[in-house]
Amino acid sequence: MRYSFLIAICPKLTCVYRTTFLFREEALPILCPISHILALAIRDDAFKLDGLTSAEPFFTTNLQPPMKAMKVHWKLSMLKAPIFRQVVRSADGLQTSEHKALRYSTFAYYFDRLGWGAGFPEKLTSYCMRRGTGNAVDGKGYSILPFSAYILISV
Amino acid sequence: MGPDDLLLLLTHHWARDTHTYPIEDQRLTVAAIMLMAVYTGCRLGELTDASKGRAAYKDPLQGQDDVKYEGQEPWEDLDDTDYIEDDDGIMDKEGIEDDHGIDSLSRRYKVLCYEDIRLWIVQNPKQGERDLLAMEVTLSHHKGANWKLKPCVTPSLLQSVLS
Repeated sequence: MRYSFLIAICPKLTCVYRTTFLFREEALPILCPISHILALAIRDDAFKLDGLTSAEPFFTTNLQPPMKAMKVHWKLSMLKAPIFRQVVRSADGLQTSEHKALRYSTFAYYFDRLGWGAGFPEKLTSYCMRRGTGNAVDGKGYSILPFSAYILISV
Repeated sequence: MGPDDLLLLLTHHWARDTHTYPIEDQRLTVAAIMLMAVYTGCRLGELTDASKGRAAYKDPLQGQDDVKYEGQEPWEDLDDTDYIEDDDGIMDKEGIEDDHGIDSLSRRYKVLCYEDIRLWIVQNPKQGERDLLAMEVTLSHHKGANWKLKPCVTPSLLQSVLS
């Protein structure tokens, strides 16, 4: 009784900290997270259906009325495998590890190098993206580069 | 960083980037991570392995400002433990044939795994058009997510319970 009273007082303690995000297709493939995950899954051969080597079957289906939606299942062996994985050295040279998750430091290196190559004046860190999302939610979008930089890339 | 910056980065990444990746598959991985991070606003620790114990920890805030991108790539450095496969690597695959079944499989890293993603083919609300793809992503490893339930007793709370 007293314990439940405590829980009622401190609801924060009983929360289940999980967040589910919903995604849908984007018209521009470069901004479509589903296409990217689909490509990674095809490369990993993670679908329960064997022999799937192209994304075409996913974009040509036409479900008929009693069936509203269909879930795509993963292979049991892939369920616990990280999606983003590290490159490791093996006897045949460098290859993607089967289970080792991508190191944060490796991604930070790639991302910083990308920002440097794209001409960003400041060091690009992962928190730039997080702040950008927060600002967009607040309706305060801003850009790092001056507008002229974007004209250059559109030419 | 705004939407224009993101588009600039992605365009540069796919079309103009002259840097190489150890395997070009990683180019897709980096783009996918950027999109997931931007759409969900999560910390990168949920998508990538940021644990300190597993490999020699490199502080991302220190010593990287003077990185020379023309020089040797980090994966060419044979002493870098990040690019070495862990010794217990094959354990997970053997777990499937185990008597304990799938339960004996365990997650090794607190990162986004395939089971956190559910891909759906959904009927198009418009009649006669192709079905649409939808995706559910569950993030469960944010900062503070592994807090255990602890009784929290403050003097004023104790007073009100006892009275």
